[in-house]
Amino acid sequence: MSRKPHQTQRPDADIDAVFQANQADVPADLDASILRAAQQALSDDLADNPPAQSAAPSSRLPQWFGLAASIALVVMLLPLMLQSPESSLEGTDEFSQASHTAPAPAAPEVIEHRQNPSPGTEQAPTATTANQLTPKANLKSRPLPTAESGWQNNDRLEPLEAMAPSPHSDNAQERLPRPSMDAPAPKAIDPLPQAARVPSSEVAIQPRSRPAGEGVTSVPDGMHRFSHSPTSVEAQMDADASDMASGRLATGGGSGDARLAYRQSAETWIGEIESLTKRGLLTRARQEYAEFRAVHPRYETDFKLPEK
Amino acid sequence: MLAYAGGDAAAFEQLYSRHKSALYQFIFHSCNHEATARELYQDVWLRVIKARQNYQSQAPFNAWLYRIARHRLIDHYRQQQRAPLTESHDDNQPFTATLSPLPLQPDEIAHLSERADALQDALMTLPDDQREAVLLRHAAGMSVAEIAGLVDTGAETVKSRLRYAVKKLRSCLREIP
Repeated sequence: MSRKPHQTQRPDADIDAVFQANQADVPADLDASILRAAQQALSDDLADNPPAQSAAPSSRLPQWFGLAASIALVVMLLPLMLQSPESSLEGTDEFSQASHTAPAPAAPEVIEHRQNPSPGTEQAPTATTANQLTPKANLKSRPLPTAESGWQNNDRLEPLEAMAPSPHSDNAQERLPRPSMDAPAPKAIDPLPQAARVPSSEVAIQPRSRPAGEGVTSVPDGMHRFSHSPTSVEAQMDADASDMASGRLATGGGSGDARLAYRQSAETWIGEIESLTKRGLLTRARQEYAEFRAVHPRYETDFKLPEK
Repeated sequence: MLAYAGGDAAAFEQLYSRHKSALYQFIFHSCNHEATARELYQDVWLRVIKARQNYQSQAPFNAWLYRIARHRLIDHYRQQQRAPLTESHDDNQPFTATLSPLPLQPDEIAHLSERADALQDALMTLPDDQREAVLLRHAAGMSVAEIAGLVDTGAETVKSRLRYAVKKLRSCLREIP
């Protein structure tokens, strides 16, 4: 709608002419600033609207991805951290820090289990950590005290104590099954099938028929020993030794059979040999006499074996 | 304006060059102060730029542009503690040709062209509504109908204002030595 051309017949044409004659020019700086503002507005539109719409998904994607990754990491680490004894000892700050960082503290255990991954389970490392073993599994996997390990850590074999955090339980390898060197140890824990097990009343005699060191390391029902403290275990060892010495006397040489009670003393042993001779069991009497002389080579007796 | 709202910067330059002079005349003669006119003129165009997305093609751009300018002037008058665009007392009086003096002669117009402030002084003697009507008519080049639509009044009222304004202007301009 531009200005209409002046018509000569208009009654106010002279006023138009006066306005034309006194027309003020627009300052050039105003023109420049207004045109610049107009272009700037378009630039803002291009910068805000189209790029914002196109960049919105791409800018939100890393945020959502980061959030999802954080949540997944927390979900994966939360059971591990909650079940770990260290989590109860450490503060929440360390827990939160561990949830945001690589699981460096658990790396030794986790790496060790990743070498033998459990098939099909992502949580195998957490399930197979030493601190998460069930008491039964912990007992089975724990090596029995041997001459090299001694009885110093036997208190940790207590099932309840094995579940509790202990300053000695940091090294998971101590509680994990040892491949070859400690292979006999699990046999000591569960040596025989259920049918072949000897009643406990008879088992109590077995240590007396064995050497002291062997009896200590392989007592089948000796799990109760593991609950003792080192001091009580040593006392138990002494008691076992004395029991075995007295048992050797009672059983006449430690054969472990009650029928050999006559071997408790030389007189009774000779008396048994005489009884065998009188009953005509000469072969058995000779064997007993040979064993007798092996034990008591200088014992003087009037008994003489009959001639063949 | 639609092309500019769609992102065509050249369309705005064309639009601006078409309307800048008339708008500046309208604003400059309305406020009678150059610095204020510059400020108001720039502000009007900035408002146009800002409201580019709100422009509707049903209304002519000229009417939309001067509506913005008029509102801006009204705001300026209010800030100046001045009654904006007061109505003249003779709006309802019938306009008769006898009230209008003779048109200015060409020599008189040529003389007034040497006196830039003569027209401005004569315009300041007019009531605001008459001055507005004269400026919209002779500076912005609007028709009576367009002025009536812009100021939201009847066409006859606009004609009346114009005739009274022209009569006073001629008298004032002839009185200028």
